[in-house]
Amino acid sequence: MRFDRSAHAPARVLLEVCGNPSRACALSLDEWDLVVRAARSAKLLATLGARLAAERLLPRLPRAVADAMESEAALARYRDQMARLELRRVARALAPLDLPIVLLKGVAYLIEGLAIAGGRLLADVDILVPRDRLEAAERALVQAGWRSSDLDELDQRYYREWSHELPPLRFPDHPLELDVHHTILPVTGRLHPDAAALFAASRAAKLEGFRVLSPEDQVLHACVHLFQDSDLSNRLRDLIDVDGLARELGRDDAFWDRLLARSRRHGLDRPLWYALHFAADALGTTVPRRAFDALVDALPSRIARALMDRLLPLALLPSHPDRMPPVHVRLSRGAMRARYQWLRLPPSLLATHALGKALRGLRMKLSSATPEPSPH
Amino acid sequence: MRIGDLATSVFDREMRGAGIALDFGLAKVRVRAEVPGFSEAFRFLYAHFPCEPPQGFFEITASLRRSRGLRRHVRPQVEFVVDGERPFEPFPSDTHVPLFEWGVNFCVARRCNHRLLLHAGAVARDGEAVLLPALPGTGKSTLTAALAARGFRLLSDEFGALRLSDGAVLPAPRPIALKNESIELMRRFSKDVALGPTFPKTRKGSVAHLAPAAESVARRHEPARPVLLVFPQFVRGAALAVEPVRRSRAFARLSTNAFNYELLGPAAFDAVGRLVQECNCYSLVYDDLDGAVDAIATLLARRGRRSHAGATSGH
Repeated sequence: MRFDRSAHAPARVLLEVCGNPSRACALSLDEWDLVVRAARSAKLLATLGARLAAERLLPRLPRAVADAMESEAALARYRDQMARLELRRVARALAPLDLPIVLLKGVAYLIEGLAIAGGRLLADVDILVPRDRLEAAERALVQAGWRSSDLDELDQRYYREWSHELPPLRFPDHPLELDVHHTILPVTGRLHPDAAALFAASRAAKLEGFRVLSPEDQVLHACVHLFQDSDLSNRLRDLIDVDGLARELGRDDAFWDRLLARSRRHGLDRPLWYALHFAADALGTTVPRRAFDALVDALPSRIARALMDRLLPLALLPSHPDRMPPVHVRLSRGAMRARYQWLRLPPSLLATHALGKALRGLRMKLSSATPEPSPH
Repeated sequence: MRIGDLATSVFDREMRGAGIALDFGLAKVRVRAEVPGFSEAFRFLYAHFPCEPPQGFFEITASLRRSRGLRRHVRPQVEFVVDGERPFEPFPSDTHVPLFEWGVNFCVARRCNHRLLLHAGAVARDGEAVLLPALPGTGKSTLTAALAARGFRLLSDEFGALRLSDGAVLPAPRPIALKNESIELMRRFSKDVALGPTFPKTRKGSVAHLAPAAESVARRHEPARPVLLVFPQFVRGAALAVEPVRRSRAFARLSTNAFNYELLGPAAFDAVGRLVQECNCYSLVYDDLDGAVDAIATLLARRGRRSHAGATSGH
C-alpha cells in the first residue's frame, strides 16, 4: 500500500476513518486531537463529520470532538446557503443570454443532493458556459455587479489566453468567488477533453436555469481537476471527491462501462487511471478489475508510476500537525508543483510566462524607490 | 496544583517544552511558547487555572514563536502559529500577551460555531447571567471588569457564548483586556484587581490584562441562565441613564453584533429570539463606573423580586 507506507500516523488514521467510519469509535482522545487537526488542515473536518453522522456514530464520539465537527459543519452549511444565493443571482444575471450554464464540482454535488456534498466545504462557485458566449457572460455578470479580481495585465492575459476560466469574479461582500469556465482543463495543456460533448451530454440540474455534467463527465472532471490541474499538495479532499463519486455512482455496475467509454472519447484515460489507482489505494474505493484492465494502454511508464507512487502520497496528505514537513515531503511537493507546470504549460509558453513574471518583479523593484513600509 | 503555584522557572520550562494545557470552559488550548517574558506574564494572568499536562483533545493548539532569521536580532518579532499556520502578521516581540489573547479569540470565533457567539461582556450572580452586548469602544470590557471587581462572576469580556440547545450562557473566563485610560481607571476602582504588565504601543494603544478571580475560574464549567441584557454606552460626563429597550430592538442589535449570527442562520435566529424573550432588556448610558455597577445590580435584584412575585401569584 503506497499511502500506508508514506503516511504519518495522524494522516493514516484520518484515511482509515474516512474509508471505514466505524474505526472512529476506537480512537483515544490523543489520537482524536491529531486526526481532527489533520482533517482541519486538509479542509476535511466537516466531511469526516458528515461521514460519521451518516453512520450514526457522532453520539459515540467524545463530546468535544463531535462539537468540533458540528462547528465545522455549521460553516459548511453556511457556505452551501451562500452558494445557493449566488446561483440565484447568477441565473438572474445570465437569463437574458439564454445560454446553457453547467454547474461544476461542489455546487453540482450540492444541487444534485449527492452524498459527498455533506460537509464538503465550498470555496467557490464553479460554472461552465460555451466558449463563444464567455465574453457575453462576463459582460452580463459585470453589468449585474460582479467585479473581476484585482489582477495585473500579465495575470489577466494568463487567464484569458491560456486558462480554462475567467479571472475569478466576486460580488462585493459575497463570501464566495464565482469561477466561470469554458472547459474543464487549461487550453494550453496536453489533454483536450471535448467541451462540446460536455454540453451535449449535460442534463437539467435540480435547480431551474442550470445544467449539470453527465455522471460520467462529473467523475472525469474530478479526476482531471486533481491530476492535471492542481499541484496535488494537501489535496486529499479532491481524492475524497473521486472516492465519494465512485462509491455513489459506481453502485450501478453499468456505470463503469459508460465511464470507460466516455474517458476514451475525451482522451482522459491516464488521469482516470491515476485517480482510481490512488483512490483505491488510499481510501479502499471499490473499482471493478475490468476498469483497470481497460485502462492498461494509458498506464504511465514504469518509472513515472514508481515516482508517482512514491511522491504523490507525501504531497497529497496534510502535514503532520506537530511537525514541520520533513525534507522528503517538501521535495515531493516541489516535484508535484513542477509536474503541474509541465502539464499545464508547454515549455516554450512556460518560459515566456516566467520571463514576464521576472521582468515584472524587476520593474516593481526598480520603480519602488522607497523601501516597503513595515506593517508596524 | 494551580499555574500560579509553580515557580516561574519550572513553568517556563514547561511552556518551552511540551507546553501548557489551558481549559477556560468554552474551549481548551494547548500553548507552547519560547518568547522571553511570556511565561511570567501568562503565569500571573492565568494563576488560578489548574496546571495540567497537555494531553487529550484540544480545540486550539497554538504556539508563540520568535520570527527567524535577521528578525531575531533587529526589532525582534513574535508570531502566533496555530496548527502550522500563521493567521496574522507577526507582532513586535514585546507584545506577546496581546498577540496570544487576540489569537485565541480569533480561533474561538472560527472554531466554536456550535455555539452562538454574541459580541458581549458577560457576568453572573447566583447562576443568573447579565449580558453586555456592545460594539468596541463602548466600555464593555471596562464595565465587565468593574462588575467582576464588585463580586460578579466573570463569564467573559468578549464572548457571550450561548448553548443552542437551551440558551444557557457558557463561561469563558480569561484575562480582561483593558485599553489606555481604562487601565488607570481600574487600578483606582479597586485595590484588589490583579493587573498584569502594560503593553504600550499595540495596535489598540496601551493594553493591560486583568486576571480573572479564583472563583470565576473554578466555576468555568458552570453555565448561567441569561436574565438581563444591558446595552452599555460610556459617555464622558453623562449622567447615569437606564432605559428599557423593546425586545424587537434588542433582537436587531444582538443579531447585528454577533460573531456568527449569519453563519448559524435559523439556529441563531431562534437563539436570539429566545434570549430576548427570557431577558429584561435595557440600555445604560454611564460615566461613573460605580453608578453603572449599582444600576445593574439593582436591575438584577428587581427582576429577581418580580419573577418571584410572578411565581407566587401564579399559585
